[in-house]
Amino acid sequence: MNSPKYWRGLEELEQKPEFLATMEKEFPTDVPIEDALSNTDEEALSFQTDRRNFLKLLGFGMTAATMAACVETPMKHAVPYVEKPEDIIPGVPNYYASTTDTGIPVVVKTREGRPIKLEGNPDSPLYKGAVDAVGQATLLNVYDVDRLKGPAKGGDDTNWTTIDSEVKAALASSSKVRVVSRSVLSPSTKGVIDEFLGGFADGQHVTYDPVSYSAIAESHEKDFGKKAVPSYSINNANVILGISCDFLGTWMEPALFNKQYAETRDPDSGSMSVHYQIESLLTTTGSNADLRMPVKPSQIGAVLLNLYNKVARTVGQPTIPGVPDFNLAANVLDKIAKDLAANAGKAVVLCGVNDVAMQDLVNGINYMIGAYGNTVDIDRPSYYKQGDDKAMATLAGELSSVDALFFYDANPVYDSPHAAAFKAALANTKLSVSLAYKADETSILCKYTAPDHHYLESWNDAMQVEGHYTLTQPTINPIYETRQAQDSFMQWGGMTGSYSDRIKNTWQSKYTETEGGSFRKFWEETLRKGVFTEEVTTDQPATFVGDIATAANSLKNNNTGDTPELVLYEKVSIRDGKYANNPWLQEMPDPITRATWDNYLLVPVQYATANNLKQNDEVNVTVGGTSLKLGVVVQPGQANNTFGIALGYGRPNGGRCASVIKGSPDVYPWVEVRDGNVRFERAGVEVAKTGGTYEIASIQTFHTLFDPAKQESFGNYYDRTEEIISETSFDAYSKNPDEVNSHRAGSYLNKRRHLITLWESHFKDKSSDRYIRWAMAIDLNKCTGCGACVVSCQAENNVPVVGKEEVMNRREMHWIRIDRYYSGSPQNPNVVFQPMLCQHCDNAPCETVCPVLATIHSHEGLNQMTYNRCVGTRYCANNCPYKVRRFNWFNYVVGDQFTEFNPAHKTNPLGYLVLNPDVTVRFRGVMEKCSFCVQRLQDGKLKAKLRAGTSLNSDGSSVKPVDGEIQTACQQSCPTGAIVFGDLNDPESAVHKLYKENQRIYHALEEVKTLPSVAYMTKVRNRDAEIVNLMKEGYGGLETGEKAMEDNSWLM
Amino acid sequence: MSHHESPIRQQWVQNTDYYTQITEDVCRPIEAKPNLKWLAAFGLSFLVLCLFVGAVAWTIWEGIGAWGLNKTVGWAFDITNFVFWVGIGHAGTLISAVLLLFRQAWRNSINRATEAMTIFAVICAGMFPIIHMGRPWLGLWFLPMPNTRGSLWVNFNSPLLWDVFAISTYFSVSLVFWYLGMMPDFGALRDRLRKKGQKIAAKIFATLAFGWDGSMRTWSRYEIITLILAGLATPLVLSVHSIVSMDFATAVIPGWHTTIFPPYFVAGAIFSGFGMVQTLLIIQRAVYKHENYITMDHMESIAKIVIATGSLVGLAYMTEFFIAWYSGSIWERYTFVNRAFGPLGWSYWIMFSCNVITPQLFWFRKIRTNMFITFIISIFINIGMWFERFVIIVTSLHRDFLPSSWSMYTPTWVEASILIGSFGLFFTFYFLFAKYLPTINMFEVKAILKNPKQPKHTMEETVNN
Repeated sequence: MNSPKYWRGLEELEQKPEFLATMEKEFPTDVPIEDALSNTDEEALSFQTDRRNFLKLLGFGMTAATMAACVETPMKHAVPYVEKPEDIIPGVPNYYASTTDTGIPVVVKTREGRPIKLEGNPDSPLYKGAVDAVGQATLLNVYDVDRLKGPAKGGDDTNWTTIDSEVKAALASSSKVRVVSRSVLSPSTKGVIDEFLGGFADGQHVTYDPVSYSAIAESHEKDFGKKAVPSYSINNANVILGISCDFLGTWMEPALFNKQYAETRDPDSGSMSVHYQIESLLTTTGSNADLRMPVKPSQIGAVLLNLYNKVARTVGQPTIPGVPDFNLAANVLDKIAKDLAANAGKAVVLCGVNDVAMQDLVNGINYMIGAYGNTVDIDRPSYYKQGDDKAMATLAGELSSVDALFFYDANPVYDSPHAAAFKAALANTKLSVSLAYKADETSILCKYTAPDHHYLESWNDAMQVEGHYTLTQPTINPIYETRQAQDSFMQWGGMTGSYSDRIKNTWQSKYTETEGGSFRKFWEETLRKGVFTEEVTTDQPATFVGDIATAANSLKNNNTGDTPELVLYEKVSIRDGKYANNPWLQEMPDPITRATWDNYLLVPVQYATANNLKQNDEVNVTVGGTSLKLGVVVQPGQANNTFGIALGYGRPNGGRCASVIKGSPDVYPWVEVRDGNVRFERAGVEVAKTGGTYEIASIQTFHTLFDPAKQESFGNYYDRTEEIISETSFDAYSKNPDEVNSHRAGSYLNKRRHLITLWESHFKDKSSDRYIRWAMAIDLNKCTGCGACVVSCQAENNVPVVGKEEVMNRREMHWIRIDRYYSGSPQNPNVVFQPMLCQHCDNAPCETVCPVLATIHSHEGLNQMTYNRCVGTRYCANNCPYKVRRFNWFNYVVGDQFTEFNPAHKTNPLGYLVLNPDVTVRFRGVMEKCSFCVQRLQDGKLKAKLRAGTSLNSDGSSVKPVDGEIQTACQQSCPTGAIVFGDLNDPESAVHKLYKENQRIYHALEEVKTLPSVAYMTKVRNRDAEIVNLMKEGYGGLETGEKAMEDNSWLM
Repeated sequence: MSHHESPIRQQWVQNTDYYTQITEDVCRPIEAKPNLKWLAAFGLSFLVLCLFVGAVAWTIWEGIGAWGLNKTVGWAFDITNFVFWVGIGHAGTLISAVLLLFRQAWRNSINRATEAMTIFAVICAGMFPIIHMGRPWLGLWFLPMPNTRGSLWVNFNSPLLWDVFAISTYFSVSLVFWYLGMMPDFGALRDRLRKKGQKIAAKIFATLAFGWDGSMRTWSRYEIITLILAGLATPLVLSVHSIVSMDFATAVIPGWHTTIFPPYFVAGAIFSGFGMVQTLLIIQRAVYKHENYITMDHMESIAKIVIATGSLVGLAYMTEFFIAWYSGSIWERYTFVNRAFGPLGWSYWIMFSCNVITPQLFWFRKIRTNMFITFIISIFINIGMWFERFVIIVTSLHRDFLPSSWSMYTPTWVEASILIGSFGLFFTFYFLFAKYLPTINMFEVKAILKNPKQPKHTMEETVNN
């Protein structure tokens, strides 16, 4: 059947010719294009386009489009995973065991493939989770904008193929090859370097340490026939004597020693070690000592000789003849010798002077008191410091004949006493290669720079102490075109395979079938744990074969009397200057001087008073004909006529952060080689006022709790010590623990009952016990002031770095600070450290005054800061009795004045990567403060709930995490375990037990009735009656006959 | 038409017996073209105002870091300026409201200017709580307004919030009181200007006069509402500065945490307000030749109030010290000794000498009738009272509980500019007022004219005037 024929209208049906004509067109009626575009009508759009106009328009259009395309639109690299990596869940951190380049076993926290935090690895039987400030801060170095971005030849970028072929070509004709490095902890790396050097007629690996420990190894070679630095177990000691040895601050491996030291210093365990310290500058270690004696550096020899003889007499050994008699104030050496001898096998003497004769004496004393095998172990040496001063001196002497020089983790042009020799030789050396990951003073003089990976991008292993191995594994893809130094050596040495395989192979030898499982299982398990220990067996313990009497001869005439002397020391933060470009470390306040960013001249109080020197005066310091300008810090407790200047500053090519402070000179040129060893003490220093001032950025400008200057005129009205600090002696505490804090008005919990408060619900809510109640206890006795918590908190909580200028304005942003107070005589004060952070008061003065409720109390006892709500009246900070609130004075991410310092600055896209994505970066005008790491608390609670499969228990109480499962950043990184944190409502929690049972618990400023959730624990000094008498007799460590100072003008 | 003239009571209006004379004296400057002196003075104030605007803009652009504050001293010039200007405001209300209720006739010729001073001072004061915020663009969050930001609300425990209510209430009441008081004069000006053919000005005053017709009923309502407003304003004189003082009194910081603050602050506020009144009136007398209305007796009365309140303030200073010692609190003791003898002790002694010693000179009649010396003393009082707030705020904060956090405070150019600039803001307003509004309350002055004489001109003119 035909379908009907449709027609649209009569016109179509009729098929008229007019209609058919219109059908041809697209539009049946005329479109008035010509009218619209015609230029006949002036008002119409005159767009009858001729050829010229068309070309004009075309040209304009193209130019306009090009110009528009030139606008720089910000690139945002927030690209989601197209294919999600198997082990990465966005928002959930991964943890990898690794080892810092300072040798500390750590756990690296990564988020979406970038490391954001380091924490001590608790699986290490040696470190037990300890980490120090420097170890913490090495994290930031991976995001250092000043890192080398690829290989370079003569300062110009090149590629690895070129470097490899040229280096190999140059090596082909080289016979005398030297690799210069700092101490290398990694056995595999040493293997690579040895194999590399083995390919040459005269290849040698020269190790040096800028702050040298060479004398310890050399003396052990003389005395025990083994050239090594022993390992120390301070935790086994009852009596500790440190002689110019800042083992809690900078010496060798402070993280480890802090851990060991704290184990001996727990008064609640019933026994406590006695710590004597004899030193020139007031160090972190000295400030923790029970009895500290300031002596000049030149007197150390006399101290050691006399101490040796006194110990020898006590234990019945031959004494050294012809020793000039010397004793400390009140004959303290007798007491020390007696204690050392009485604690045979349970005592240790540590000496930080790089002098072989002195170390011989120390070895002799340690041997007499049975330290070897107990607290000191040469059969199980440590590898932190393997530097050899003499080898380095030899190298410096023969540089002109060296064909090829490789600098692996070494910067001798800056930090070696032979800097000048290296500087001169490098211009002429045939082949010089620096493998530094960051441009430094040496690398810019080298022909080639073959930048190493940062350790967070590398594979490696380490042996800190014989038998204690840790692994390093990459936690981030290499950021730049760098190559691991070991791979470079393997490439140039013609070795096959990759370094990571090589490590695996090295470790294959450690694996024995008896441990069960396959090697793969062993390897993965070791890598997961990051730590592997081997039993070290010695057939025969080393015996003392040294000749003390001969060694002692060089020390007999050292005492230089009253002439001024200079000590070049390491700061806890900057150490030898390797990490001077790390803003976290630059801004970390020195535990003692509380100064940041700067180098300065430490002047003893007596000298300052006699010569009218004040804090921030500018002086000319002259040593050996060269002068430097420095600011003055007047330092109590420093031996008279002794000055101190820190190493590690004034780096000409250290990077933007290291060289931003112009007034901090480099004092490495003043380090001298004496008797073959690098020495950091020298005589012949002149100090002259320039009349100018140089302001030091100190975060604490007032030294004491109680200004004795005011005491005379006004009596004891202002002695606020009791309200802030509590301290006692071990004798008193063990006899009457109840009386330690009995003068405080009853126990804290009882005190609550009769309170009138605006915040009844914080106390009256009966159901509140079903919730968590976060609380912290900080043991002032364990806190050594090391500052690890400060850096850890900064990393965890995205705390900005504000720079010297802003620190001088007293606007540093640290959420936790360690207040340092002195008491007693300024010549030799007692020191106490008090970590101060938000106290999370139940009766918080800040909460009451905030007009917009931006700071409020959680039902878990947290004092919460809501950044979004904060309008920035600063009333809360004014009303905080602890002054722990920090205001964002500027926009630290944007302000031009923070370009050099703040890692998370807009000009530094790399620095952003270190930010913890769980913590907001605060905008300007907003208040911030310690949150008790609320992000960790939330995370821990969620984990507990996930585990339990519910958020509420059957009785309606909330599911709580297990005690100890959640650690705040400061607690985690505290090497001494001074910080305990947990749920106060959990009767089984550690913090609850301390609050309830420990008599040392007290709160700072209890009288203000803020009811803090942070408690402090009384500091206990182990001073028996004998020591107390000695201190009275000797004016707290002053030379006999010297009067204690009355003048307190230095205080301001 | 003569009535009895007391031989003892002061003559509050001198050398004139004519209503027309009063009207003429007050209205002349308004109707005239601005003269060079006024232009210069106004121009200078405006320039200083520009400095204020610039410094504030810089602060908001850069952040509070542009100031010299630090982690320990969170307030300094900002809140000092705030309390200073609020204090200045107090004299106006005291004169207009309290003295009205106490039927002090002498207030009639000075209440207009002092009320204007109050309004402008409170405007200046009101700037600071906003400027001092880290994020001033969120100032709205101070107001308890229902919002869509969840359950966010203000904290009624916070004295800063009380300030918001206190200052805004005070400002509204003062403004209404001032405006209402001007309505009869606006009516008079409207009529005069109309007659002189100044149409635009007449139109403006006609609008401002709100149809004031001078009828008996209008007058009667006017009197009633004036009394009601005076009754409302009187407690405010006491409450505003009491509340401002609680910013400090309710805090725990030694030196702030004291119960003496409310009366002490009120006395101080009246003292500083009268100091400023002296400064302004002496200028007004000299420039506008208003000696007939603001007589020497007026100035003496003011000086006597200054002596009284100054002595009260001095007593408060000494009481504070005594209580600090008597309390036995180490914090209080230290704070007060530090206040006087610490590194910022100089500011304490500026305060003490300006506020306690200088006003005592007014015991001498020769001094309080010498306008030049009075002027100098009034400037000293202004300086002293600014320093009083500075001392309370900064010396208490800079050394509080933990010596580890003690610090110093040094202002920056930005803060100094804001302080100086706030005077620009004040005087810009004040000079505008002095030129374009009646600076003396014409009808109230007429009411206290002791012995008005028959006008020389016709009855009709008198009525119109």
